[in-house]
Amino acid sequence: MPPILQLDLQQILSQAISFILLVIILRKVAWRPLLAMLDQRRARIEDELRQIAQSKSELAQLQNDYAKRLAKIEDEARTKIQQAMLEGKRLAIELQEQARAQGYEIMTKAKDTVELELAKAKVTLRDQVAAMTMDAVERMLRRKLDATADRQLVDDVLKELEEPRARTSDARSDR
Amino acid sequence: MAVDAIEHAAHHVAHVAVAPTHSEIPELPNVITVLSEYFHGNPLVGWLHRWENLVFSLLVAAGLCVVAWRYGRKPSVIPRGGQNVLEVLVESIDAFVQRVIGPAGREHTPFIGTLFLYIWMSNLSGLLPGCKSSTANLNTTVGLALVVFCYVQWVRVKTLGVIKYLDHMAGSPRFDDIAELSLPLKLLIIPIKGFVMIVLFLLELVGEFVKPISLSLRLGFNVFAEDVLLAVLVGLGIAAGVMIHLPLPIQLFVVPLVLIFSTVQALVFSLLSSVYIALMLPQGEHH
Repeated sequence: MPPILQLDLQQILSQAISFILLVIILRKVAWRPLLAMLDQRRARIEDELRQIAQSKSELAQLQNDYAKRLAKIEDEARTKIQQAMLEGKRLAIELQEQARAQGYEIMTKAKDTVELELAKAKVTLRDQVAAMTMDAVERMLRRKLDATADRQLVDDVLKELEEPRARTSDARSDR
Repeated sequence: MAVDAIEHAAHHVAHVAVAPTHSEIPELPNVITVLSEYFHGNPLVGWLHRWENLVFSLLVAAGLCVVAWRYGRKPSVIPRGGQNVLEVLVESIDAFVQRVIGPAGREHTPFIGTLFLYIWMSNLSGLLPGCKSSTANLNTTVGLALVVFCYVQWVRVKTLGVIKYLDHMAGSPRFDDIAELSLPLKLLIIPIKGFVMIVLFLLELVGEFVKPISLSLRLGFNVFAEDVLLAVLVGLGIAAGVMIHLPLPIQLFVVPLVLIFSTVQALVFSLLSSVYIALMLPQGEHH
């Protein structure tokens, strides 16, 4: 019989007992500690993954809130800018109106002043003409001459009147 | 003299490989066969030669214990060195067992895992010079089958309880149908039913025992065939190298195949043992 087919009960039992002992030893020395450690590590990794997922969720929530707040702030800023622009326009219009009113007032005042000055000048001129007329009349009456002489008097008066003007225009042209 | 003994063993292998007879099966020499050639007639060596399968089994077991003690006794959460390899093995085996048996398989992982590692290492030890695959001998594999059988029955007893276990093994006999029969008929039928119960129990027991035995035969003969193939190729290499006084390593071409088959055989034994255990568990009854 080939050796492989020679069964020996003692050897079979020895092999069985040695294997049982090996199972007991490895179970205590390797399998239990390693499986426990693997379970522990798996639990730890799962826990960390859960925490990461939770953190991600919180982060997403925060990002969402932040985006909402940012949008709100932008809206507020836009509203405020629009309000400021409107206020600025309103102020500009108000200032323009004020300026226009002031200008009108100044113009009115200037016109009044000019009219007043004109009136004053007219009065002065009238007074001067009257004085000159009186002066001329006085001289006419004083001399009592003929028409030629009257005429001469009037011309003299007129010359006297024109001389200062001519002098003034000469002086201007010299300058 | 030791060299002479090794040379003699090698020539013996070469002779057996080239011209095998019916009575002599080629076998690679191991340390113990060399010793027995060297110390022929020594009672200690003779005893070792008789128990060489157990010796090599114990060497494999001792190697596994040393590795387990070194790297598995106090594992660190952050693995380093050999613990990485051991963890990969343990995790893979645990996943494998749980895939076959289910979540309840965790309890059986140490048994199946040790079975796998022991058979795998024993198969591979035949590739080491001077060693021998103890699983190439039926005494080893039948011993393993015996352990698997006992373990499976223990699992069943633990799951069902002793009474239900015996009831199940005896074919779940019921006596309700003979309640209405007359007493003489009852006295006739009850012993017959009892006899059938005993026969069924024995048949069931034999059926349960045959399952792991078939596994052990498959494993034993496969590994034996691998060893014979290696021995034949080594013998052929020696015979072919006589002319150039240098043995040709022809067996190296089949070493990858031997590696694969050794792993597959270990896996098959472990897988089918897991299936037997799964069938013994409550959820296994439904499949």
